[in-house]
Order: sequence, then structure tokens, then C-alpha cells
Amino acid sequence: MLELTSVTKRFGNTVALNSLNLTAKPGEVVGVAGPNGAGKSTLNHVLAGEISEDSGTVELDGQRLGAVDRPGVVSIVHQELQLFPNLTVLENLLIGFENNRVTRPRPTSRVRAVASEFGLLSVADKPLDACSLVVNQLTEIARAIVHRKRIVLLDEPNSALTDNESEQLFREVLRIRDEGDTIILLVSHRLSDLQRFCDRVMVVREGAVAAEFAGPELTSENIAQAIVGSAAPNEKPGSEKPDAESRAEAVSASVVPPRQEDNQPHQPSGSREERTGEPGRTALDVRGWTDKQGEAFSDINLTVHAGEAIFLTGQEDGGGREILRSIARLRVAKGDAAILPNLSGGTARYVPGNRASSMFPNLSVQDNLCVRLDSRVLGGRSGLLRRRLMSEQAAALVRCLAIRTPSLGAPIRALSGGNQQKVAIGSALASRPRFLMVEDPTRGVDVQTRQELVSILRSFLDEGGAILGFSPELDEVFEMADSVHVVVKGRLSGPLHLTSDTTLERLARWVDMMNQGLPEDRDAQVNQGDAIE
Amino acid sequence: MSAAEDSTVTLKNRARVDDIVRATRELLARVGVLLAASIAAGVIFQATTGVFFSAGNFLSIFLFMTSVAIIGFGETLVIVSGEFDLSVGSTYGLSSMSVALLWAHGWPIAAAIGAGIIIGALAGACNALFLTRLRVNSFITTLGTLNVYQGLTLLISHDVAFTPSPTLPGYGVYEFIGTSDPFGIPIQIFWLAGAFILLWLLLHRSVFGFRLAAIGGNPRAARAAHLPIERSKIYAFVISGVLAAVAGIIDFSLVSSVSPTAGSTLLFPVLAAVIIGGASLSGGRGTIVGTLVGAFLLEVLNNGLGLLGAGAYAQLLFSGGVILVAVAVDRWTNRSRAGVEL
Repeated sequence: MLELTSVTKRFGNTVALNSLNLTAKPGEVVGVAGPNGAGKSTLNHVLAGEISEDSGTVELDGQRLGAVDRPGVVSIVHQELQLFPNLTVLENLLIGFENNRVTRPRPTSRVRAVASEFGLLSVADKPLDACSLVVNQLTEIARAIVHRKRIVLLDEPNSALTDNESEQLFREVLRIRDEGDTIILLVSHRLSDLQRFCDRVMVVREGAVAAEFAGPELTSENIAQAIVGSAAPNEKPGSEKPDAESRAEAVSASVVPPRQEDNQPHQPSGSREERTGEPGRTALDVRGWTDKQGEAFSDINLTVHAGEAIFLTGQEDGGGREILRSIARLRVAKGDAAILPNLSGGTARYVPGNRASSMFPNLSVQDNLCVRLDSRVLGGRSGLLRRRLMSEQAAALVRCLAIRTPSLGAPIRALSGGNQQKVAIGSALASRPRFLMVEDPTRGVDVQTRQELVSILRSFLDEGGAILGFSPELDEVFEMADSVHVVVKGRLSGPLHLTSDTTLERLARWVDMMNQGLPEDRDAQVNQGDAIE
Repeated sequence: MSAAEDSTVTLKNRARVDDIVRATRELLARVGVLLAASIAAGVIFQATTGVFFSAGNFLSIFLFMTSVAIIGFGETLVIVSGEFDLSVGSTYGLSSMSVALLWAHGWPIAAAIGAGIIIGALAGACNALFLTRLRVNSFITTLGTLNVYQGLTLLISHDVAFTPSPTLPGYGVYEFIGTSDPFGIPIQIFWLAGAFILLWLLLHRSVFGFRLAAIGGNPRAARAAHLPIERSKIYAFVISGVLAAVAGIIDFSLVSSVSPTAGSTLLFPVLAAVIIGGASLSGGRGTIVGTLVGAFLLEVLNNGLGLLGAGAYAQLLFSGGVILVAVAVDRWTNRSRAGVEL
């Protein structure tokens, strides 16, 4: 049994963990949830032995577990894996078994058995960097089992996986749980995963466990409520919408960032029908848009009008991401006739999905917010930075997007992931674009920040902006999109228009049906989409 | 709501104070440590030689650090952009030799100097061309052009040093560039101050410098944001080439001759000054002040060891040791800072 008792960790004035208590037994999956900046990452680092706690104890089976001993006992699985991409899957499992220093280690029967349990034998001799992410993550878990690690900590393991891949991942996780030797912790923002796969969920807020759910109490709604906590009142302006239940994660809809222009209360998700009146000016129009850098997609016809949010979805290898990037001019593609967004003039902006492609780690929060401004705005005629304008712009964006930062000049790394994502979107909005391309806009952020981001993008639409997005996560698509296209094997399905009585289940069924194979006739697709109950 | 407003109101005021405090502290930490090291070295040299702290000696330090600092400013731009320019020493030699030969062949001195600066710009542009058009890594590119430009210098000079005779037309201008002292101050101080102000504005106060730091800090994000990556890098290399040429011409006048191997030993002190000055070799970080102080510290050591009559080996040991210590100290201070930001 793993037992953390009043573990406290401070960074300067910030208390990251405030006398946190946590227990976990073999044979159960313990979920850890919480808003960004609640201390989840610090908890990870403490358990990984990368940092040591200021006070409190970590015990395993009654024995005190010092920080230096933890790497031998704990295995952490997250997106940045601790594996060797140049080695094969099997070689990765063998790392640590180099008994003699001369010959290569040979796979023992146990290693082979574990690999086969995880279904990794078919890719055993493939270099890891040629394998999909889920194989990488399974390899990491298999390695933990091979090395008889007592504790496996899964940190947002499926945030970049498709639905099928995450099912595969969790199947293995549950299998290990049932073997009953390993203590499994799952840190996740996905409430549905926490509900489905965990036996117990701890909600961490402000460095301590704020709530714990098990059994029938373990529901997405309860977790969401606990994550948001008292920060948001329960009654909200848009709560009368009919599909409120299906939006299990939309509990905190009342968190609205104060706008600088208008202070009208904004209804983040209730305003869907109002904007589907008449289409505005055309922001994007491509015909026969075909990939020239590979064969990711072909013959795409796509139009986006002002005031609407069109999302592409589908599996990671479907080509949706590539379509979006080609329109953002990061990939070569050609079409017959096209109205393309003007990226250099500041009227269109692209927000990358992962923060490694959207953050400038050497720049401050202010500079990150201003870096994408047009050079004429930034420098005027002299080419010298207009620093007053920059700090005013940045302060306005921080206020408007409710970015939580110690100061404008703080390094961007000082911000939590969700706030960094707000900065990424803020820096795109800074130049007042009319067309925004977003990739996974709310990946890996907590429920509250997610609601804030949704309402930021909604108000962008209300002001006449247009959005083209890509996300494989349907609940994200559901919350933001006016219409959805599924990209399957490089082809685009007809659109499904989301109206106020569309439910997440119906969207999911339609997307699933499209994924089975696109019908030839586009009208038929739409009809089918509408016909599904 | 009111809490949010409160926090944003104070945010603005606090931001100013915090940011100024932080910027000052970082500057002092970097520049202060280097200056303290220089002074400590100076005190030791004073104690051992008795002549270190004299106006004459300080002037000579400034005379000889000028070219390293000026080239270092250009190198700082290139390194901040995430690239390397190893060819600065050769560009320095090629430009000054070109000026000398054109002048000797009857070109007016001004035209010869103009041509020398253009050659520097072309050398930089050529480096940038390989980098941006042919996608050859700048380390490899400039390692190649380091030899190519050196070879060109040997070729055009027939491996013979050139010392201009005082009867050449325009000799007065030539002397003025590197050996005059208007208002009783060596002209190098003016060149240095001019280059410093210009490059400081360029790197720290212009849109170009701002974007250059962003590009060096995260090339992927810069690409996704459609920042002018190639154009900025081309400018950085051209500026680096021009500054190398300018430094070459100033030194050509200072030492009254140009040798076919001029500049071949400059690469180390230039890179050392930039690195000691706190620039990150992975790009995105570097300051003009840092490079200036880095060049100063190096020259103080050179000068003092020269006064001591220490051999060449001592100078190599010290300049090499200084760069190692500087980088080690940098790593160490950054480690403790990173801990706070986790």
C-alpha cells in the first residue's frame, strides 16, 4: 500500500502541495483530478523522485520511501516518454537487464511473456520511433511490469491517443489492476475516463485532496463540481439548455472572463442557434484541395463563413490535422479555386495544438502575447518596439482572457498548462484576426479553463470571427463547433450541423458511422446524419 | 468579479516594478559578476606588475578589445537566432585585405572601404544562402566558408602582407580610422560606442531583434506563427559579416598593415566573449551588454598576462579556463533558478 502523509512542497512563496494525504492499494486504479496549478504535476515529480518533499512522508507497505529510491519503484507513463526511440520495442523492455557488459541482453521468457500479454510481439523488432504513440505507452507500462515496479503512475496517458487507442491502453491498465500486484494512479483531465476506469478518484485543489469519490458517488458531475469547487456558483445563465445532461463536463459554464469591450454577461454555450442565421462573409473557400507534400488528403471542398465554427474530427491518421495545417500554410497543398486566409497580414491566425509549438520559452508572458503582432503594429515606422503599446496589449489580453500570471514580465514557464494555452490563443487574438485556426484548443486543460476557452472562442465568433478547428476529442468538438466534418482516409464527410437538440451521443454515433466508411453521395451523408435519433 | 478586477489593477503596477527589478537583477548578476571578475584580475595584475591601473593601459585594453567586441555583437545576433557564424575571423581578414589591395590599386580610400564592407555583407549573405536555401546547417556552412574566405584572402594577397605607404592618397583618412584620438579619446571608443548603441537598439529594442529572439527560442513555434524566419536569419548573418568587415578595417588602420592570415585567431575570443556574456548556444538568449563585458574581461586577462610576461601558454590556459568557468557558473545559477519556476 502506498501512503502519502501530509506531504508539503513549496516553491518560493507558492505552496504546490499543502499537507497532502493520499493512499492507494494494489488492485485498484486511483484517479487524481484537479484544475491546472492544483499541484498534480508536483505530485508527479514527488512520486517520481525528481523533487523531494519539504515535509511529510511517503511510505510503501509501511516502509518509508525516500526520494532517491522512488525511481526504482515508481514508473511514470506520460506523453514525454522515458524510452529510447532509436531502439526496438523489445530492446526497450530489456534496458536494465544488461547483466554482463559485453554482449547484448537476450529476451528472457518472462520478457517475451509480458510483451505478448501487451500484444507487443508483432512490433517487437520495430524501432520505437516508427511505432504509434499507444505502442510507445504500452511499452512503457510493459517495462514497468517487466521490472516489477510496484507503482505505475499514468499522467494524461491518452491525451494524444484516438478513442480506439485509449480503449486499448485502458484494457491493459485494467488487466494489470486485476492481476493485483501493482498500484495504479491515473492523473487525467478526462472526467469520463476517471469515471469509467477508476475505482476511486481524488480531487486535488490548492495542493491538498479536496474531495474523494468512490462507488456510486463516482460520477463525472461530482468530479467536475469538486474540481471547480467554490470558485464558481452553481446556478448559471445558460442552464436551461435541453442537452445539459449530455454536457457532463460543462458544469462550470458560469466562469466568464470579463471582456474589455462589453461587460454583458456572456453565455458560452447557449448561443448556438442565434448565430446560425444567415452566413456571413466567406473566410475560407477551397475546392479540390489536395495534399502536395504527401497523400494525407485529396479533393477537399470546404467553406467557412464569418460567425461560424467548423470543426474537423476523425482519427489521428485520417488527415484532418494535415488539412488544417495546409490551410495554415504549414504544409504544401493545391486546389482549383480558393479563398485562403491571409496569414501574414494579421487577418488569420493559427494556434498549434501542442504547447511546444506555440510557446516561446525564452520570452516573458507579455512578449509571448505580443510576438505575433504585425510588424507595423509592433514597430511603427521606425522599426523600434512600441513597448508601451505592447504592455497595454498584453495587460488587456491578460484581463480579457483571465490569464493567471504573477506578472506580465514573468517567464512563460511560470504559468500552468491551461494558462499557457490561454496565452497561445491570446497571442493569436492579439492581432484581431477574423479567421482563427485551432488545433486541439483545450487539450490537457482542466474543466474550468476549458469552459473559459470555449467562451473566449464563442465571443470571438459573436464578434464576426470565423473558426476552423481540428480535434479528435468529440466532447471538445461538441462544445465548440457549429458544424462538424469527419475526415476519413483523407476524404471529408458532409457536414453535420449541430443544433441545440443535438446530443453528444448522436454526434458520436454519426462520427463513428462516418469512420466506418464514407458514403459516396454527400447528400446521403447529411441525411443519414440527420436521420440518426 | 471584483476580486478579478482588483488583481488585474494591481497586476499592471506590480508588473512594472517586478519586471524592472527582475531585469536589473539579471543584468547585475551577469554584468556584475563579469566586472567583478575583471576587477579582481586587475587587482592581482596591479599587485604583481604595478602598472595595470593606469590610463595608458586602460586605453590599450579598449584599443584591443574593440574588434572582438564589435564582431561579437554580430555573432550575438546570429547566436540569438539559433545559428552559428564561425566564419567571422575569415570575413574580417578577407575584407581588410580587399580594402588594402583595392586602395593600393588606385581606388579612392572611401570606395575601397565601401567595397570592403560590401564584401563583408556578401560573405554573410553567402552563409545565409546556404542555410536558408540549401538547408545546410550553419555550423557546417560557416565551418566551410571559414576556410573558403581564408583561402580567398591568401589567393588575392599572394600570401604577402600589405603595409600602406604614407604617400598613398587618402592616408590621412586611413590613419584617422584606427589611430586618431579626437577630443583626446582614442577613436576606437567612438566606434565601440556607436556599434554598441546601434546593435543594442537592434537586438533589444527593435521588432527585428524581438523576433530574432523568438525564432531562436523556439523555431517550431516561430514557423507556426509565420514569423519571418529566413529573412531575419539572413539579416543576422549579413550584419555579422558587415561588423566583421568594419572591425577588420579598423584593425587594419590600428596595426598599420594587414597580414594574409589576419583574423585567423579571432574566432575563439569572439565566441568566448559571446558565451561569457551569457548567450545561449541553443538560441534565444543573449545580450549586447553581456558580450561587451565578456570581451572586456578577456582583454583584461590578455593584457595583464602580457604585462606579467607570461608566455602564450598562460594566455591560452586562462582564456580557455575563463570560458569553462563562465559556462559552469551559468549552468549552476540557471539550475537554481529553474527550481523556483517548476
